[in-house]
Amino acid sequence: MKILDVTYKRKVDCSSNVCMWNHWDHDHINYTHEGIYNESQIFYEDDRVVLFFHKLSVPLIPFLKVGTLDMTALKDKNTVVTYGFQFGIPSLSTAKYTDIGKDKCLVEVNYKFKFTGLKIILYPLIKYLIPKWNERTWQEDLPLKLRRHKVKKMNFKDFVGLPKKKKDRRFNGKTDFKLPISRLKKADNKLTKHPFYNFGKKKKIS
Amino acid sequence: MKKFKKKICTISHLEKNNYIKKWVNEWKDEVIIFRHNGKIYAKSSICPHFGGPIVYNTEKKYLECYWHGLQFSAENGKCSNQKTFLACLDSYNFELKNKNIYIIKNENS
Repeated sequence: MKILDVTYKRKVDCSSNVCMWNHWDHDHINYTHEGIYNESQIFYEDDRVVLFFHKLSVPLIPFLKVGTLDMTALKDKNTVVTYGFQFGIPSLSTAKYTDIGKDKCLVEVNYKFKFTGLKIILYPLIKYLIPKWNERTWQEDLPLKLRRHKVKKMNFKDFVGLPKKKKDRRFNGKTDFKLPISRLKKADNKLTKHPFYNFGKKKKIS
Repeated sequence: MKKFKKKICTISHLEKNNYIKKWVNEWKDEVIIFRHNGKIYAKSSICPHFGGPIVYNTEKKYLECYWHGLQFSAENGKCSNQKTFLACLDSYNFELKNKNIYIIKNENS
């Protein structure tokens, strides 16, 4: 058995709540990350957990497509964990967002892969691909975070837009983050079109 | 009422590009200028859904958001692919002067 354990740390000029919003805004996957997520569908989601099916293009090997089931869960108010099974190899990625000043956040992403048996031969490939993956998703998400932060500082309201009057376009408070994030309607939403979507989900478990 | 006037681009600049976008700090908005069916339009390019960037799709002739694929009418700014999404893209008045495109807004609006 062999464990691959890699951590990346970066700073970004936005609040941790904006980063958390970006992580939980699943609708952007099919657009912003279209080049790496060929297909993404949600099987199940609630206020803390999402079960995805993704078909991924492998960075630098675009003809290689990998189907994977990923479960993402909110571990605490600043940490998101994702359990995956890429190439049949169990993985755990942990993203932690910590405010380190006004409008500044430290992003720590840790990837763990557990290799057993013959799959150990894939260790160098995964080790090579992880930094490419991390860099690409970071670069694709960065403009979202910065812009989202900018519009929230202009008092932007989701599903409404900016205030009509210029004098109201400022906000100095803390950017809010609350799950679940409001979603586009199912009929027009690529993510939630699967017939199993939230099958059998009850609003409350007695 | 006093009016703000801000140059966004020249007509030749617009002709060379599908659309021109510019942050206008004076009004705290991002503006997109584009030509649609031969007519020039000026609108806010901040998507009212989550604040994403709006661009003009010249082939399909609609405005769209990069983040979540919402589509908006180039003419009236209404969302066309999410029937229940009611917020529209704000329109701007504009003026053509000496081959420049200026947007105009009332100071208090």
